[in-house]
Order: sequence, then C-alpha cells, then structure tokens
Amino acid sequence: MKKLTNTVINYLLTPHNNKFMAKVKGAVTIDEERCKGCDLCVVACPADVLHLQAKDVNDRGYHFAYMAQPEACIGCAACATVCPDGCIEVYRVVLK
Amino acid sequence: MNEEVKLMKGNEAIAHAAIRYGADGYFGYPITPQSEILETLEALMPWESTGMVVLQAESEVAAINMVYGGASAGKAVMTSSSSPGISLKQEGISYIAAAELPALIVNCMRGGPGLGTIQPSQSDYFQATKGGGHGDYHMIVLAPSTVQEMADFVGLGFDLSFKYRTPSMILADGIVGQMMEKVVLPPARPRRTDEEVRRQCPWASTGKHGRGKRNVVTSLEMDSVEMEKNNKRFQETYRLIEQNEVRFEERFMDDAEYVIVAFGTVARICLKAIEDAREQGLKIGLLRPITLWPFPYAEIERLSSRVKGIMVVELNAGQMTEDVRLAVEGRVPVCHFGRFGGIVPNPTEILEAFGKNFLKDK
Amino acid sequence: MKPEEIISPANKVYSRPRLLTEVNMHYCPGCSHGVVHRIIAELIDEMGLEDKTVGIAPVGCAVFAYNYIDIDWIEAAHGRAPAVASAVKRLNPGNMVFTYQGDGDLAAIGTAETIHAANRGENIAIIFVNNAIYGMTGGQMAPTTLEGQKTATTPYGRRVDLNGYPLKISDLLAQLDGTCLVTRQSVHTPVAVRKAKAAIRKAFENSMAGKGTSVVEIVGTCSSGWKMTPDQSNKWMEQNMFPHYPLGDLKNL
Repeated sequence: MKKLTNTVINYLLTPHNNKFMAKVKGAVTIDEERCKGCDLCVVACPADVLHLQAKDVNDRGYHFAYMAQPEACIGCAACATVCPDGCIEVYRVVLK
Repeated sequence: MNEEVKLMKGNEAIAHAAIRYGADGYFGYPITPQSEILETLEALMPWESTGMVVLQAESEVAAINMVYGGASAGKAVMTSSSSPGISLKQEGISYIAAAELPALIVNCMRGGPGLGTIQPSQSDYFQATKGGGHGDYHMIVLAPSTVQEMADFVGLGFDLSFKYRTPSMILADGIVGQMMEKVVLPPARPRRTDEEVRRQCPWASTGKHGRGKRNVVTSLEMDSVEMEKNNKRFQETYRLIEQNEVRFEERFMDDAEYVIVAFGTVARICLKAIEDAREQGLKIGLLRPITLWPFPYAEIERLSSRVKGIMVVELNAGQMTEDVRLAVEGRVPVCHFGRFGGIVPNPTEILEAFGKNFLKDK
Repeated sequence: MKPEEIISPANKVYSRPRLLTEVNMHYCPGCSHGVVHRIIAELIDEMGLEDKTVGIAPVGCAVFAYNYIDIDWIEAAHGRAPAVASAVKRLNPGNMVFTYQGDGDLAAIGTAETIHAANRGENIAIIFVNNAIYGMTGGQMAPTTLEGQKTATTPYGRRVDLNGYPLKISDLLAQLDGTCLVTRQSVHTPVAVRKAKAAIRKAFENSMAGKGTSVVEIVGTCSSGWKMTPDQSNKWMEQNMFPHYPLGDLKNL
C-alpha cells in the first residue's frame, strides 16, 4: 500500500509526468547535531532524497541524514512527520 | 461563618476546621478510627459553599498522590488516614517532601504493627518524626491532646506547611479522634482565588498563564551535584524549622523534682496522675511536646539539669523515650512506661510505674 | 532550482514546533516517544492551550518529558499519574490536563489509578505509549509484552503459564462508563502520525469540554529493548504488535 501511494505521489508530483499540474520543488534542512541517524526519514521519503552519511558523524557519533538527491525533493514533509527528534524543517515552492 | 462553639468528635472538628480554613481539597480513603473526617466532609458538601474539592479515592496511595497533584498546583490540600493507611502513603509523602510541597496529612493512630487493632495507639511516633518514607526528610509533626487542638492544628499545620514548603502531619491518636468535646470553631475565611494561589506559589504548575518560563514540579535530579544541593537546601529548611517552630506545654514545672513527658491524650491522663501525686506531696511536673518534630530537645536538656528523674509515658514501646534520652544525655535517669495494642493506662498505674522507677527506697 | 533558492522563510511548510525545547531528547535513535512528544507540542500550540495545560510525567523512559515540552509539568511517582491528574483537573477545571505514561507505569504498577480515574470519568487525557517492554530499566518484561517475546526478564520468551497474558488494557478501559474516547494509534508512518495527532487532538478537546476520560494508546517501538534497528522495529511492530493490539477506535463517543 505504501509503495503504491508513493508511486502515485511520485507520478503526480514529478514535474515531467504532468504538464497540467504545477511543478512542486522542495528542500529540507536537517539539524545535523540533533539528528541521531535513526534512518526513519530515509525510509519515509517517497522520492529517495535522504540518505544517512556513510562516513561523516556528528559530535555525538551519529551518521546524520542529508539530502543525497536534493533535486528529487517534493517538499511533502513525510520525513519531518516521522522524525522522532524534530530535526527536519521543510520548504516548498510551487512553480507555475 | 462566624466563630462557633460546638460539641463534636475530634475527627469531625478536623473536617469543619478544614472547610473554615479555606482548604482547597481533601482526598481520603476510609479506615477506622478516622473515617468521620471523610464522612463529615461529604455530609457538609463544601463544594457547594466554598468550592472545596472532596474525593473518596480508590486507595490511600491514590489519595496521597492526589494530594501531591493538588499541592503541585499550589492548592491547600490534605488527606487523612490511620496507621496502616499512613504506611501506604509514605511513598507519596516522600515525594511531597522532595518536591518541597505544602500538604497536610492527618494520622489518627491505631495499634500496630500490621493490621493490628482499631484501638488507639501512639506507635507511629518513629514513622512520623524520623521521616517514614525513603530519603532524608522530615515532616512537621503536631500532636493534639484535645478536640480543640484537632481543630486548631488544621490551620497551624497548613500555615507551617506553606511557610516552609514541607508537609505537616497531625499525629493524633484514636482517642482524640473519637471522643467528643467542646470545641470553638474558628471563623471561616474564603479560599484563595486562582490569582492569589499563583502569587503565593509562583513555583506551582497551574498552566503558564502568561508566565514565560514553565514550572516543573519534580523530585528527580540525575545530577548528583545538584541532588546534593537539593538535600542541603532541605536540611537548611529543617534547621530553620527546628529553630523557630518547637512547641510544648509545661504544667506544675516550677517546683517539680520529677518530670513526666507525654504527648497527645496520654498527657491528659498523666496530668490527672500528677494532680493525684501532688496530693500525696510528690512534686512531679508535666512536659507535653506539641511538636514531635521539631522535638523540644533543648527544653528537656534544660530540665535534665534540675530534676531527679524523667518518666516518659506513651502508647508504644518507648519511641519518644529515645528522643528524651538523646536530650538528657545521661544526666538523670530516664524511664519509660507504655501500654500497647489499644490499651490506655489509668492514672493509678502511671503513678505505680513512677513509684517503681523512682521511689524504690521509700 | 537549488535547495538554497527554496530554503527561505516564505517557503517554509514544516517547522520544528515552537513548544519543543532546545534540549536534545535522551531517547534512543528512532524512539516513538520523540514523535509523540512532537505532536503533543504541535497540538498544544495549535489549540492555544499553552497557558492552560498541565502535563503529568510518568516514571519510565518518558520521565524527562518535562524537559522537552515547554509547558507546566508535574512529575508523578511510578504509576500515580492518573491520581495526580485527577486532583489537578478537579482543583483547576480550566486546565487541560494530560498524563503521559508507558506500559509499565499505566498497565502494571498504576493499573488501579488508571482504572479508577477512567471509571470516575475524570476529564483528563491519558497518552499511553505501549512498546511492550520496560525501556528505562533495560528491557524487562512489561504487562503488554507479547507471548514468546524475549526480554531481559523473559530471556527465553514470555510464557503465559508463568507470566500471564499480554494485557489489553485499552480494551478494558473501553468497557468503563467513564471513558469517552479509547483509541489505539501508532506513529510509524506519516499517515499514522497524522491519525495519532487527530486522536490526541480529540482527547485534548474532550478534556476541555468535560466529556470524561480519553485514552490514546500509541503502539510504539523500542528498538534498543527489542534489539533491532528502528526500521526493523517498525516492521516487527506491524507483523507482531498490530495483530494483538489492532489500531483504531475502541470507543469514540
């Protein structure tokens, strides 16, 4: 079900798929020091934007999340909604 | 309500006094011999008149934690029980002391240990005066000997409790709870408004109400350095209470050669024994500690340098006797006479015990 | 468009809640408590209840909830939060009073307080996080631990012949006339979080409207206690917890 939902969201929101819909671009900021690298945002992201740092760690030793594919972000806030530590803030623009 | 003269039980006097004091809440659970406090409050329905909350809880544990909650909100709240129930309340009392909250607890003592008896006793002296629950803390302990004092100590207990932000206990025995006497009930005063509560208790969790900083009532501190500071602050408060709040009553002390020390209703029986003794030419005086904590160590120390002996009479195996001995430090003989299990001594046997201890040669 | 061009106050669609304090939560990575805290902080702000709310914190992992949400708090003794909340709400009926409790606090040591507060219909909201384990003390068996589930005190799995059955306390609470809302939610997906938030909003509304006791059970994960990654924990929860603790309203009057 989740996969299907994600596919639909992707279809509707990915710019090249629908010339009638407004183009939506998103971006997130991640409080790297607050992040505990739990990976839940990575799993929740429908556009595979977020990854955990493979090598870099924050001051507390966690592999924090970052935007690995920023161009794919649709600003849906799924990542922020499931983040247990309130690390993620979300921005979105609608391009006409 | 104006001042009124009434004939009533000590337990009933507590209930009336609580309403007249402007108490905000009472949370209790039935147990003999103090159930009249809850019954009287339910019958008087103060929620209709003063807005005081009265609730029969599901247990003594719940009742004391309701008191903890109410006190955390800055309210004047109380509970009452008798010995086995007071044991159940010890967890909550420890938290109340640790969170530096005002609260009034009434213990109408019955004989223990265990389920014991429903008859009067004074065997919770240690529990009341030495802490009772876990951790280094004290309660202010008031020991009434009359129905009048049952009524008076409600106000005194609340006032001291708010002054020092520490729990107070009225340590009554089943006799003064059950017996009927004349009592002058104080005039009623209104409960504090919410605004007055917030002003008097700026630390209380009432909702922020425009206060920028949040209030947190807690007894938890994981930083040992901070927790030691907390403990030192508690101890400073206790030293202050010891300096300012020791209360006792002395009778026939001017020419006394011996002293009987007794608290609560037992002091009244001892007074009769002393009167009888004086008719026979025995110069005995009475010291009745009113605050059992803080205990009148200094006064007993002073007396110990001018009397020949001290007898402690109590309805237990010698609990207050230990405190008297601490004060006397061996300067004069200290003996104990006690009855247990709900037996109350009469003046004659008190004098016999006195004779056996101090008048062996005569 | 580059992220730098998008990231500006005008385009912000999701912010860290104003009422979450700056303190880093002590919870383990992926812990459900963090999400529940966040939605409570969002709701209190959105509902304009900051000045009226008193939270009652439990003993257990959420003992430090008072460090994370910027409202008035009272830290209760273990299991006693509903008794504390009962008094606070009765003495200050204008307050929105909620307890925040785990499965050990609410369903083991505090069962009496929970049931009697709910049976009296106290106008409080009970937020109950059920992760089937004692997290704070190191992963011991909870009353809600599943049959066969390994914990520090059931190292070979919970046996019902020794330890009894996993306690469905919300089902029990739904039977009481004093409850107006008893619902079971989770916070493991964006959709679940939104539903849980709506349920807690209803519980807070009920407290203010004086409708009775509301209980919102959040079936959550404890990846440290369960010894799995947070993502594996979510999957394990779906496969094992949800069949025994099915999501949805048990009562909603």
